[in-house]
Amino acid sequence: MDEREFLDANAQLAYNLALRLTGNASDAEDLAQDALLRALKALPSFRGDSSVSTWLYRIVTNTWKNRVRSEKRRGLWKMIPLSFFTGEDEDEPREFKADDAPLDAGLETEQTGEMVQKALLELDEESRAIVVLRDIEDRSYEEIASTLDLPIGTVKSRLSRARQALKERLRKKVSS
Amino acid sequence: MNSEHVIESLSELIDGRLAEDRRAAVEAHLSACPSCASELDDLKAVAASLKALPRAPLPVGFMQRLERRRLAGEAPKKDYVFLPFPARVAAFALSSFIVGFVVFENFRAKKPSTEVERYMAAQGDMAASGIVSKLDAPAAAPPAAEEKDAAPLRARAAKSMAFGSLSGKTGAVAAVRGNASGRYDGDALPIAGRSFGGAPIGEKAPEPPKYTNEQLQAGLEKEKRELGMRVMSLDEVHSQKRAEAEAQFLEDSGIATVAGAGGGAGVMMGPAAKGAAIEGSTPDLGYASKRKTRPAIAVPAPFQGAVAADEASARAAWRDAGLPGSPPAFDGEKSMLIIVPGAVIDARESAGQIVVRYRPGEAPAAKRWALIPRSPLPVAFEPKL
Repeated sequence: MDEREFLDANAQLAYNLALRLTGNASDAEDLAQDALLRALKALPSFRGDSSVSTWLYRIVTNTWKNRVRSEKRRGLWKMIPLSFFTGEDEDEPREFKADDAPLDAGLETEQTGEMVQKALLELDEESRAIVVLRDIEDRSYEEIASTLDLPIGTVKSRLSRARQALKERLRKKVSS
Repeated sequence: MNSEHVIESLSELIDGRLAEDRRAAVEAHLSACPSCASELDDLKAVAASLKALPRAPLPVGFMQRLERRRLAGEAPKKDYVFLPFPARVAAFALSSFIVGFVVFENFRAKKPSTEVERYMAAQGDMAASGIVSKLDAPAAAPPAAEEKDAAPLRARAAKSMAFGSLSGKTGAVAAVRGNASGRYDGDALPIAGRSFGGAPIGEKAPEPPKYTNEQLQAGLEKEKRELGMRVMSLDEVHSQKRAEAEAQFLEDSGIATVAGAGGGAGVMMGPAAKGAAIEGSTPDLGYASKRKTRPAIAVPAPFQGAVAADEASARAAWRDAGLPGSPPAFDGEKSMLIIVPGAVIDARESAGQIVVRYRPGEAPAAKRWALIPRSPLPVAFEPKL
């Protein structure tokens, strides 16, 4: 596969993941292009231990995490979760009640996509990456573990917590 | 009951990741627990809403821009590179050590190690500001007890510099320097040194001692007695230093040396310098024996004083001054003849000029003139009434 073919085949995949991770088109393009150029550079050494898509996901998420880390160090606060300001512990699951309105009722509105994306951006980076890879990119636990370089058990527990956290955030948005 | 809830397993249940027996147990619980069933529904709704997010098409021009970057060989934007954690720790430790070492070196008290160093420290580690010296300085290192006492005395001597100067007959130039740590010795007064100040590390900074003027004065007197010092006024110091400098100048010039001229101008003023023992190459003009019989010479009205550096101008000035005879012979290379419209009192260098003071009016010829070292400075005549 020459470089041009690789880019044509994987640009959409990289961009979509980047868009869900960053939450805006401009940053997503920047991130996706950087990740694709990195992938091109590393393509000759790609050994095929995993699928190309898993390998590319890994490059995109690593590039993104490095960038977030740099931005945080440079004092850009946009990645700081809202809970930092509200004082809430995002990982602490709310005591749920059986008489809560079902969430799916609220998620059937027109703004669903936007609301879900906003809630996604409020998660910490790792939780966001796991949820995006699992529920949007439909990756298996093993692929996620390989992409994020985490043990399977960690992926399971963090995915569970991330879904809970996302559910709580969506519930707040729906109720407000 | 909460303890029986299976919330932790719901995520895996949705993904079909539970083992068969666990899945059966969870499903059994869900059928009996509306809360957990509701939670499962919510989680499914969340997962479904994520899956339902539209796959955004590539922005227009994305591939062209990517291709341009690829063809241009543009490297991906470089993220800020940070050292890996262990290297950061090591770098921090190293820089902390260096900073700590430098600070410690500057702050720690430097204790003299050798006998000579201790003696030097006791002597105040005299440097070069020309203010303090000791009379009858001991030739050998003082006993340990004296050495112990020397530190506060030294510090006080430094403090006393603010009041005046201590001068010794050796003329040695010295200044008292505080120890490098800025540590106060015993009840020594705080001294301004080149140290960073402050207490030694780990000790609370001592309160600066408070003294009344009387205590200070008494302490100073005691130290003067102990150290064999005497305090000179600034005027005394200045005049002595000036006298020494001028005497040195005269000596260097080879004209004359006025001994014991402390406080005076140090200038050879012909035979008129009463009580001064004149040595050197001053020509013997034979005035001394006739001094008492010399008549006063009136000063011509227009004469305001003259300076002559050669024989011809000396003769002319001599005439203008209304003096009889001829001017004294002098070496124009080294000295100048000054003639005043009165009696010379003294001559000194001041503010870039030579000021010749004189008592106006008629005076014996011997008092009308003086020889001073040759100087390019302008000469001003200052009458003293």
